[in-house]
Amino acid sequence: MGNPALADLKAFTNPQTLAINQTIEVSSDFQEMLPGASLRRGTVGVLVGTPGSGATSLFFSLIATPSQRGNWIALVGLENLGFASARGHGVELSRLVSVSCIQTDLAEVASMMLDGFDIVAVRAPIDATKARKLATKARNQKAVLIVLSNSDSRSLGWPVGSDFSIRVLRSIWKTDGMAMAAQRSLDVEVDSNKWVTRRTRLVAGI
Amino acid sequence: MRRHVRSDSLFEEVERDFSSRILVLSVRSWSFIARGILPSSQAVVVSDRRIVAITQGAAKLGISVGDRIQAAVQKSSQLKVIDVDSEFESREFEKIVNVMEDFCPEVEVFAPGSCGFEMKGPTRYFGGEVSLLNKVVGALSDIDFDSGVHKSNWYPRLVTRPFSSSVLVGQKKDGNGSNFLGGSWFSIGVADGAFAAKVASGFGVSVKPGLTREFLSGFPVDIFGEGSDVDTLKGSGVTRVSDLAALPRHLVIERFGAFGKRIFDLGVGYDFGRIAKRESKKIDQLRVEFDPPAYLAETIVFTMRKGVSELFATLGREGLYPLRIRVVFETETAECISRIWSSSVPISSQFLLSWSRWQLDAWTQPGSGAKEPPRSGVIYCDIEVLDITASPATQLDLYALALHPEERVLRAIERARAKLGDGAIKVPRPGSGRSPKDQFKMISWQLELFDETGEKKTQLADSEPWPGRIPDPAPSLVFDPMVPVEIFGLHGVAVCVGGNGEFNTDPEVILARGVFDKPKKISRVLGPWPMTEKWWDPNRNRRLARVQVISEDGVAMIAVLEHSKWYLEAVYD
Repeated sequence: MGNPALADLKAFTNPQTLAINQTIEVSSDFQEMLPGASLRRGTVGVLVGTPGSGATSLFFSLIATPSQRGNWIALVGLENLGFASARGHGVELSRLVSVSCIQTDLAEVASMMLDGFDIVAVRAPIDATKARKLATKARNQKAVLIVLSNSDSRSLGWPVGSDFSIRVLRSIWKTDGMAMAAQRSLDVEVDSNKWVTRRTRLVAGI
Repeated sequence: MRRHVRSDSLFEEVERDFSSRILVLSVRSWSFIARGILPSSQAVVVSDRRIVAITQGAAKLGISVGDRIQAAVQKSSQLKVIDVDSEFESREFEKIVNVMEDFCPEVEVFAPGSCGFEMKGPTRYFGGEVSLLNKVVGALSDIDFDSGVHKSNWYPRLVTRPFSSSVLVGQKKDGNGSNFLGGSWFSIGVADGAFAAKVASGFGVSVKPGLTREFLSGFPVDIFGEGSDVDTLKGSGVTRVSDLAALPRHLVIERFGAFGKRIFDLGVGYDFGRIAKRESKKIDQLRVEFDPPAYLAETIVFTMRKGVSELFATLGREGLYPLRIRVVFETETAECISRIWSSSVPISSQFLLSWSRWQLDAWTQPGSGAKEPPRSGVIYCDIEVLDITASPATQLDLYALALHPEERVLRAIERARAKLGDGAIKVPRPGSGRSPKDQFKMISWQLELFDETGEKKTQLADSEPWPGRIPDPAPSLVFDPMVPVEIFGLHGVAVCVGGNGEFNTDPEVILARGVFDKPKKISRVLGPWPMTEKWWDPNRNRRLARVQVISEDGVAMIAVLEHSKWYLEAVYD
């Protein structure tokens, strides 16, 4: 195909991206977990895990690469996040904006954020009507909506369909006596395309 | 003059003003005049593949209004086909409307090429109806069209017969106006009520006061428009307006409902349609007053919202989109801040509000702007559109997507901020301290932070690790304030830490209500690490002991013992 520099130039001057192919690149850790190994714009994903399971860490590593690539990320109703940890996972904090609001405003605020941000993370539960509207908004605005749920039950707090859902079952720690070692693995259940359920174990420094 | 008439609702009797004298200007060939097309040339205006207007040249070819364009094109190869563009025609018509506005500030534009006003005031001001009409005709004749074609070449108007109830407009003994009868490009009608005046404008006549009914009576009922109701009328033998007016009113209403009521009243000369008043001559200015004076940016922007969106809607109806806008705020003590906002893409009302908001913030927040903050409340805001474009490069709906990504982000943030208030939107910035919650602090969103992106990135990443800090990895959930918990040893003994940093008994169970549903059995404990934080500050120094705990089900967390009470400080989620 000739000179690769020319190919690059062509891609730069004439980027041919179909809307459906617009994706946000994520870390290779998610190869097994996400359909297409990336975040597809206009989709909704659910991350589930009880406190301490590792779901927040998984969320941070999910948004790390997108934030480094210049995508804007809004956190709606996500309180108590440890930003030192986020930075430890490689999240570019200058791309994060956190919005706190009361439970009943969550969906409306998330909807506003979908107008401008590339990725919007919102705390579940959200009722079915609002959830449907949010999913539509995400699709129209070509943004990615990530729902974080710490629900233990099957309902997840996101009563409508999602494009992928990842349930973090538990963290498995290795300690070395004096302090928490960096070695942790997460037991993850992936429900990537509404039909296939797989289990995978993610061993990483997360 | 007041009369008892049945008016507002279908059968209700209401006393209302008698219909007022209305002047209507009608330019039948406006589509061509606006484009500088000569009457002798062959041209047609097409809407939806049918011809809606023709020049004389085209009429000579045998083309008529309502023909299909395919048929017309076959008749001449020279035929110029113009797509209807009412936006362009309205815009050009503004010139004419401006001339009319010299006579009456409240001119309603019915359609491109047709406008009118109520004559009551102007008649008095200009010394009678005849004198007013002459002045209007004179002013219109003086309009200079760019095309350079002499106005006498414009469309000669066919004057068939002067009605007994009316006189020709412009017919005057001194001859100044009579020139225009044969060759002017416009025609003027005057009558009681806008409907009759519009009809009269087609003939260039002024209907004598009170004779509207007589004037209309000779016309076919088609003047009320087209449609099945008119067809029914004609089918039942009511072909002229006089036939209609002879019928009992309630029967017409019974048969034709609201439409019947309207046409009957029009037919007998009761016309209460008023000239829709334009807000002011300048459509591109707006003053929002604040009474009592407003101190909060939120309040000000909220109050402005309605007026601004109306202003934009008015402009939008004219097919105009603002590119540069001046926003001026003034306070009670005459302090004033003026700023011109401009954009390469049309400005939306939401944008203007956000910008006004930033302008206010920059002014009112001490130290953030160069100007002194105001000492009193804002009493008014002036918005003036300085520059407009007629064709937005992109549709407004699509234009949100065409925006620069960071502008979209800003817009979303400003919306949320307008809803939730200043404190709700925060961004993490590095802090200093040993405890997890001190390492980053959340600061309120400000516009200035936006510019930091990229530039201060390095500073963000390079904050010094504090000695005595909890070693990495950092916990991903940090509770601020900390959550009170209970930690028990064997047999339910409360766990505490002695002066040498040792437990009185091994911790067995941690109970954290609100975070974990159930008590968690502890499988590993690291620590305790006693420490004194901020020992240099007598007010803020804390003595505490920190432990890292891992439960049997794999949950790792940090607990803190302070003043003999345990708290959950963070969870490794």
